[in-house]
Amino acid sequence: MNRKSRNKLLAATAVIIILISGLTYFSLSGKGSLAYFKTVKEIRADKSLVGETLRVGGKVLPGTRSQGPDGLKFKIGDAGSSLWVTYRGSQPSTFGDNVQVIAEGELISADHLKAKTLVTKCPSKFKTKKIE
Amino acid sequence: MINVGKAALYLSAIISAVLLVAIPYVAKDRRRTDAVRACYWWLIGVFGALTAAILVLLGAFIAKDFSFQYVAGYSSADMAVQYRMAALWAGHEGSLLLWAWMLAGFAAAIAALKLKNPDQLDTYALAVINDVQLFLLAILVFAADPFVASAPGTTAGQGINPLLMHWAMVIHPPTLFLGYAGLTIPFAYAMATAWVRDPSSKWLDHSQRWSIFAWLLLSIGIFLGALWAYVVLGWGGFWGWDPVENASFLPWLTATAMLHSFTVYKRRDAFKLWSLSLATVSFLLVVMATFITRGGFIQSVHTFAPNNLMVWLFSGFIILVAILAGQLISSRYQLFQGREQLTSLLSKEFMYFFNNVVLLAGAIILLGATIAPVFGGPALKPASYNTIAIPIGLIYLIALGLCPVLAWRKTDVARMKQYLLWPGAVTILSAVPLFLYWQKLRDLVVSVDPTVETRPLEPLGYIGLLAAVFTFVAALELFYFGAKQKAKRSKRSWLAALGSLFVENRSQAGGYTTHLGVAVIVAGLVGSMIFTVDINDTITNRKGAQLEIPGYSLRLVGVKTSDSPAETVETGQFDLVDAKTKKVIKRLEPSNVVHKTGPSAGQNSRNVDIEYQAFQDVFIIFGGTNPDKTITLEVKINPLIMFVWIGSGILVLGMVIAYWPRRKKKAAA
Repeated sequence: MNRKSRNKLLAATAVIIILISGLTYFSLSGKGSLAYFKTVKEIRADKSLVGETLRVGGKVLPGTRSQGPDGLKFKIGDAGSSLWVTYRGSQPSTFGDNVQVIAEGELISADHLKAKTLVTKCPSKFKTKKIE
Repeated sequence: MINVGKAALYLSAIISAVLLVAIPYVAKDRRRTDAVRACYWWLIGVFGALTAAILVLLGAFIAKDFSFQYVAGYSSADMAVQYRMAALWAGHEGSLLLWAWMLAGFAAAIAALKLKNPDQLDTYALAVINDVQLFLLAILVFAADPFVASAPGTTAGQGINPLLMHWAMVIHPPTLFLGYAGLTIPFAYAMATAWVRDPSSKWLDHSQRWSIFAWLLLSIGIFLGALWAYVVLGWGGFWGWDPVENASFLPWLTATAMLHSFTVYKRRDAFKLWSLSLATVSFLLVVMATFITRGGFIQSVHTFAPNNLMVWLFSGFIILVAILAGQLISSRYQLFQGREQLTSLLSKEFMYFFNNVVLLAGAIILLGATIAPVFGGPALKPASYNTIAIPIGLIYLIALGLCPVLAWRKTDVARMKQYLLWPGAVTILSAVPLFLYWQKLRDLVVSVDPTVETRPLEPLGYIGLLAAVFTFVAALELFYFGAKQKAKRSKRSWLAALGSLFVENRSQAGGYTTHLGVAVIVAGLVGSMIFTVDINDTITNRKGAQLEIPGYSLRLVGVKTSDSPAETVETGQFDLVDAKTKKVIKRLEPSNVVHKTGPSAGQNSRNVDIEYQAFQDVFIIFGGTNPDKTITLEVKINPLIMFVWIGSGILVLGMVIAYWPRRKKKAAA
């Protein structure tokens, strides 16, 4: 490739890449666009997380579900620790006792996550028992 | 029976292990065609043995033989036979067996087709495919054996998640896996041609049909998964940027770039290193995808055991292949230099280059976002994924609309202007009506939730609609000009020429059709990702109670409850009423199922109901009755989502048109 066409190509590539990285950076800089995955145990152990947007996974503990003024309220547990989750909005499919859920939202106090999204693990993969 | 299956699996692994050494050994000497043929036969033998193994497992599912641990783990006696058969690929052992079987099938098909006249290139390619096959078989034998006996006295199975019992879930995994397995073929041929130092496009002649077939199945597989997620999963959407979805989308991105590079390779003798590298990257992503979906890599983030055999085998294999392939390609760097130079930015070459860069950059960002949480990084919300994906998608779409009107090497600007006239004019004419439509969509969303997350994307939605119109008209125009040229050359009427375009110039007609499809899909994505109206509310459980939603009201007719030992089903009956005419459009009957037995006892599943319309869907999730005599409801209005399904259909149709086997070949064979 001669120098002229190489330079042209490099310049054009640089423009594309800068544009794409700029867009990516821009869209990630907004508040709450990133959520750190934390375990229930980690959340309970670290008080400084209050106020952060977090994503947490755990099992819905049997007998903790209720519908109240805050919407759906339940406790999720993981390895001996537990956390209250409130969620406004309708439950996802296959929600219920012992279901693995991923809740995402703001940790409003040390033991309470106000979820903006609530998903049950996509059921196409289950039986992780063996691997775990 | 379990030992028969095991024996067949082990036999295939042993043959494959012998071939690991045997094929490269006999391939070196071009004169040893008999020995090469013998290897080809043995490859067919591997397929035979694996077919026996998979039939044993399938038979066990059909016969409800719960002495197989795998059968007991994924099925139960009360499941319908088609779902029991589909349970074959419900777990990672069966999925990997299916993958290996399909790959062996591809190897056997290539071996059988080339048996008469074995070529060194094919032999080396088959050697690579066999290596991959051996890797999968090794995993099956050492880490994921599907032929393990249950504890003595097991007479019942655990059953399967009820959401998986749906026709789309029966065919989605095998379609996807066939696509995954198929993408091994271009990789194998790329390695083979680099190994034998042949920079001609012969390897593409031998492999391109397989590559396109694989791409097509991958696309259909993703499409079916999305459809299932929409209709069954109750997300209210078809794409949630779940790691498993991302995993299948990643190889699709690079394989799309790969196919485009192949075109340039064949037609312009350029993009050779691109082609080799993209074939390799696509293959690695396929392995990665299998690992993510079936190896439990990302799902079990917090229980991720680094000493786990499966994790080591997969990561080791990915790293090994990356090093070996990288080494091979870089050692052939000079040989695979393209002949053609890039002379102008207004050329097809540049657009193909642009296409590769954008798709690859997209894949890198998506890969990073998908695996970051595994290494303690942040996770992206679906909305954040959208904010990244939509602008990149729009840039890409503009290139797509522009590319067909550009010429190779250098474009005649006057001609380009002539081409751009109509799409440009129609886009400008539609600017005002689209603006009004856009405003309507936006107002609907805002009227329900003024703080909705998608607000910053709204202006892009307008650009997206305009770009979709532009691309659509540009693609239509391609048909027009294509037929006009052909009519002139062959002195036929325009209409006859258009018809013959689909017979004689299939790749051209198919290509234009795919572009039409993409334009339609984009309109659908814009509508359904940016302008979804989402209403969560409760109404009293009383006949005639109403929920007002923009454009409609939902009137409760009643709640039916049916009880059985296995489950309680509450079905809400609603009349969807047009807000203006007050006429009932449709009776919608979403339901809520509470399971009482099996592994999902104590859990609910939702059967959504959807009113499908051309320009928007009304999607209803029934949350069941509450103790305080209310009903929880979620209603979504998804604008233009139908365009996604229709556009996908057009896209696949275009690919089928382009690569339908030619009649000439049939006559010769």
